[in-house]
Parts: sequence; structure tokens; C-alpha cells
Amino acid sequence: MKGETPLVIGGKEIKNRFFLGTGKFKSKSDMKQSIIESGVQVVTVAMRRIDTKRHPENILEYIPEDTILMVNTSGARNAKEAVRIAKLAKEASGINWIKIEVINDSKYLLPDNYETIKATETLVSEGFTVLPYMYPDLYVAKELQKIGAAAVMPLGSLIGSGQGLKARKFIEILIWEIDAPIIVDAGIGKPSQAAEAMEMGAAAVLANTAVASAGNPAAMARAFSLAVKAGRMAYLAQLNENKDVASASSPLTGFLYDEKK
Amino acid sequence: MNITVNGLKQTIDNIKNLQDLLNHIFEKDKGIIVELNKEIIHRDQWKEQPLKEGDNIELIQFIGGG
Repeated sequence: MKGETPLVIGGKEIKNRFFLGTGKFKSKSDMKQSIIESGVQVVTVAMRRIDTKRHPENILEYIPEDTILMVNTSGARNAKEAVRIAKLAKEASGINWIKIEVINDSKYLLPDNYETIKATETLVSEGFTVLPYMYPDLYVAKELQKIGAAAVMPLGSLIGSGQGLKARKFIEILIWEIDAPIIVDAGIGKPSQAAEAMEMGAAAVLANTAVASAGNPAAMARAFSLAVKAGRMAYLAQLNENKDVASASSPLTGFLYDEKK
Repeated sequence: MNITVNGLKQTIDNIKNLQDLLNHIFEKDKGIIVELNKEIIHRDQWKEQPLKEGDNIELIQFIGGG
């Protein structure tokens, strides 16, 4: 069995390898219960203009104090906008962990890897802990690692699609070739898919829609957290490889009633 | 005086500073982040921050996101 190595990001040891997004919850109390019952340590939040016709509500009040907050740059269409959102988050609240999310396509919501590299470079040089969300491309991942990304977050499949690990083969290559933690983000629709990512050797999994849209979000968050733990355990225990032919689990000799020749 | 708040042009009267403006818009100002002409103005400076013709104000908050 492989020994567990701690997941350290931005100088902090992360014991729970399930990261939770806070969007789309029906209520703030559903969100809070999901964080508490799953024991997640890292959660993402976003920043938006306030609708001045409604009462502003501070989501941070519903997130337990010892939680590590990571601000995503959703809404950014290029590196410049992502950098602006990151700086705003830091100045307003001191949050230093940034999930770079640069999207310029409203149909598939695919991340723009080129702008993501540019934003990562700027923010790393300014002392942020940067976790870029990206399309799983080996050259881009290598570049992100080189310029100091704290982790690389490839998409499993399209955001919010629940399609699981459509990009499995390419994520596997990143896991094999990149030393920075690989955190699978986006498209993870059920706990079994999160477990699958962890069995492959992903360092962590981030999910949001699958939990927030579940009938019982807090129970689903807990199921994800357990699946991530189980997947990690299976990875460390070293999975047996797939074969194309059967391999009996009971001996194929010494059958009862066989005639001796 | 004409200012822009979250992209909308507005005409305001009898509003001297940023705190007055926020009181005018919101009942409670909890969790609000304010950018005036692309610079963050911290909460403790709202009362001292005068507004002038053509100011561009962004009112921002943290929300749920993945």
C-alpha cells in the first residue's frame, strides 16, 4: 500500500479532499448544513454586482469560520478581468485563494486556457495562492505548474452537466506527468464519479451542482465526502489493473466430482 | 448630480457622501463591497468619502459559486 502524503496547498494541510462549491443551493441553511455535515475544509464563493432592488445578504456569515475560502473569478472573460476580481476579493476580505475561471463561451462554458495562464502568472507574482480551472491539456498544465500554480484543476466534463469523467484519459495524463496536485473540477454528478477520480490518483475533487441540486443536499455532501475518502483509500491500496479476459477468483483446479485422469 | 451605480446612470440630490448613498439604496448595508472609480473604499471611510459628478460606483458582494 502506498503511504498517504498530506495535501498541502498554500501552506495549509488539507485533510478533506472533497471541495464544495456554494452556488445553486435553495437556501443558505442547506449550504451551511452541507459544509458542516460533510466536513469540507475548502469551499468556493463568487463575487457579483449587488441587485440594488433586493436586500444584500452576506454569504460569508453562513460559512463556518475555520473553512478555507477560495474565490472564483467566474464572470471574467479574460485574464485582466480575472485579476481584477481576485484583487477585489483580497482587498475586501483578505481572501488569498483564487480559483481562476476565465470563460468566454456561454454555450459550453469551457475555460480559456490561454487567458488562464496569463491570469495565473500575474496573480502568483502578486502572492496569491492560485488554483486555475482548465481544460485538460498537458502543455497548459506544465506551463501552469512552471509559473507557480498551487494546483491544477482540470474539468471532468462540462460544468453542471453531471456527465462525470468524460475527459478521463487526459486527466490521467496530467496525474502522471504533473507534480502539482490535480483537482478534478466540473461535471462530477454523483459520488461514484468522485470516487473514480480519486481512484485514478486525483488529489481532490470539487463539486457543486450535484450537491446543491440534490433532494437532500447535506446528505449528498456527506456521500461525496465519503466517496472521495474511499476513492483515495483505493488509490493508495493500488488497484488491480483491468484485463480483457476473465481471471478466476477461485482456483481452477481441484474441482469436486472431477474424474481423475 | 449624475453618477453611475452598477452600470446604471442616476441623478441624485441631497447626497453628500458614500454612506448617504448606501443608506438611500439599502435598508441594511451588511456584506457590501464598494468600488468608487475602480478603487475599493473600505467601510470605515464611507462617511468621509464625498461624491462628485460623474462618479462610477460598483456595489459588489460575495455570493454562492462553484
